[in-house]
Amino acid sequence: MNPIEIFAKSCHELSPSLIEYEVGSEVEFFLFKFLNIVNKLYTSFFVISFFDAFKAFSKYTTRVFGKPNVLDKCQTIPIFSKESDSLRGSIPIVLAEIKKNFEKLSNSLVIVLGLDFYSVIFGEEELTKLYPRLINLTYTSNTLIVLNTKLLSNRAIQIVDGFSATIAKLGVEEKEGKLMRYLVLLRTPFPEYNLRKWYFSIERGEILFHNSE
Amino acid sequence: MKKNCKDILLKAIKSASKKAGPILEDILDLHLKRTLGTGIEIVCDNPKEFKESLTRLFGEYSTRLFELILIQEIKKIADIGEGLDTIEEIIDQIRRYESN
Repeated sequence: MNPIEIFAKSCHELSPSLIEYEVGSEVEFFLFKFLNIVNKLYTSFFVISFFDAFKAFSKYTTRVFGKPNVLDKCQTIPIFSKESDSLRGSIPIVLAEIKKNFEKLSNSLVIVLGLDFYSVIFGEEELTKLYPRLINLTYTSNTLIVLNTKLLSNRAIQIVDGFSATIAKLGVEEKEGKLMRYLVLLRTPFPEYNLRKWYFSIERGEILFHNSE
Repeated sequence: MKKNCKDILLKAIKSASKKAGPILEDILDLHLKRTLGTGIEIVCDNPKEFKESLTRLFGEYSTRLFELILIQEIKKIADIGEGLDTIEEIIDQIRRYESN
């Protein structure tokens, strides 16, 4: 199994799952490959998208992969989107609307995108209030959250990590002026893989994993 | 209040890069010099090209996040940009202040 497959297996067994990414780690590519792996396991992907995060994801995947089928399977609930009919409001209003949509679903993977955008705009205090309540709301389904934690304080990271059963980190390092991307599985039910680090590159539409540490 | 577009943006980019990741400023500068033959100062003259170049380096998602951080930093530094959502919009506003 490659590390995305390990992560996918882990997410299916232990949820909620969190992808912590750094700017430059091409998280969209990772997410796209992940969705292709878990595609057969779910009837639909229920995407909770803050500040048009899903739009950024689909723009990227469409540019790189054409029009991938996996996007058709995504039902999106846009929150604080630029679109005029988008949901806006306080945390209880946002949660009530999500709950209303969520109750109609069965066998869906819930994907939460753009909580980092939310944190940049409203501050991490609001994020730490929203995050646990959002997780509680979706606890009956498998849930995946994609979040840049580099911007958060240790306290906020502890809260976010505390509510996540599976965690993978996508990061970047600089070596001789080159961007080196890596993946670390921080928390999975497979101890032999935990804290292992894989460097990867993206070539011709594929993620190539190199040496692991 | 007189606001200098280039000074504000460069200061904001440095601050945003520091927040988003310590190696980002160097990588970004190097990438822009290699691909466009110029450094981060291109953001003032051609914000659209700056963003496109960022997208090629970081991807769409990270670029949007970086843009939002950058806008927050500009708001802090120059006390402008309330309600604005893109770098292009905020640069337009700074230029209007500059010309006043």
